[in-house]
Amino acid sequence: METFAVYWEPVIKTYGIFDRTDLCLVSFQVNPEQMGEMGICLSRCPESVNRAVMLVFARPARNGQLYTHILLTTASVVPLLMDAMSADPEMLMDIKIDKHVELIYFQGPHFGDRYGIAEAALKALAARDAPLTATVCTGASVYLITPKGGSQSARAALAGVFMAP
Amino acid sequence: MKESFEKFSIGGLKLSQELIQIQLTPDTPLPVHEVLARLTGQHINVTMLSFDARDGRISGSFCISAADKIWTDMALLPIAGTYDMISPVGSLTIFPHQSRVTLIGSVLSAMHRIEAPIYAMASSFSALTITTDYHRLDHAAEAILSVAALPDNHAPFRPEFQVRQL
Repeated sequence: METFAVYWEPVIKTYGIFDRTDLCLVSFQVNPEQMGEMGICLSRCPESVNRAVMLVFARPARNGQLYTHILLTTASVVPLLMDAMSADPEMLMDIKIDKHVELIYFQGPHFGDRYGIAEAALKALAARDAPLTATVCTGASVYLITPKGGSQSARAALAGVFMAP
Repeated sequence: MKESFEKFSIGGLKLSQELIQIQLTPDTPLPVHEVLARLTGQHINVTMLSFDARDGRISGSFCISAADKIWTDMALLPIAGTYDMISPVGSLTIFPHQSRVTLIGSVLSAMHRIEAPIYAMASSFSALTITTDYHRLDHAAEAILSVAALPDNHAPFRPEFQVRQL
């Protein structure tokens, strides 16, 4: 059964646009065959790492690997995360650690069911040449990760397209 | 009894309808927002999305409903051959995961044990979505429930209706 709806607004309403600075993005490639092993390693992370994890996302890379990102509230737990993952030194490849990323995020009414939301956000950033490190959207949430100092230009770019209460 | 105490408590487990995962590569000639604009022009909703910039080029993947395949093919005709498609896929959304990387790790391990492929992951602060083979979705849900416990009288659910915006 499908429900048809019409819902369009010239400036898209959100429940608020928020940002965080001084975050750390850990990125690496992992062989899909080793996802189970990586999972076991992650499941053994100490509580301090658990508390620091904000986002986890991954997408396939052309070389067959899964390119994976973990966004942390602090770089101080990176050694603990790496310790937990070091059971097999060859499990993680091409590790990159960016210790000064920023995050801008928002959600809105029925974002998960409405086309055009991600496009509106990325188009707004592109129009202002606002730098983007990564983006992840699931359900009704949009997360934009920028390099250091980028969240303010991203916020300015989003201001004309998205409305905060 | 002991096992249930060791499981992670979760609030819900949602299984998607049949989806298609589209993977843009550095060879895709259009910027991501222009690719998405072509989908917006056809009123196609993107159910999850994950992109990152490597070496100045943005790559990533997103999912659409399998029901939108014909319109997606039309919308993306100008870039045909420059993106990859995985089909059919389904997604499992676990909520809330409360940013517990230990839960995420256990879920990945459980899915690997039943050889359910992991095509992509995307989390919010409260939910974790994983895409896998659509035909293995129920099996994957069972695997997740071997490490995570739903509240009493709850079961994995599929949406009973789909909202399509005109």
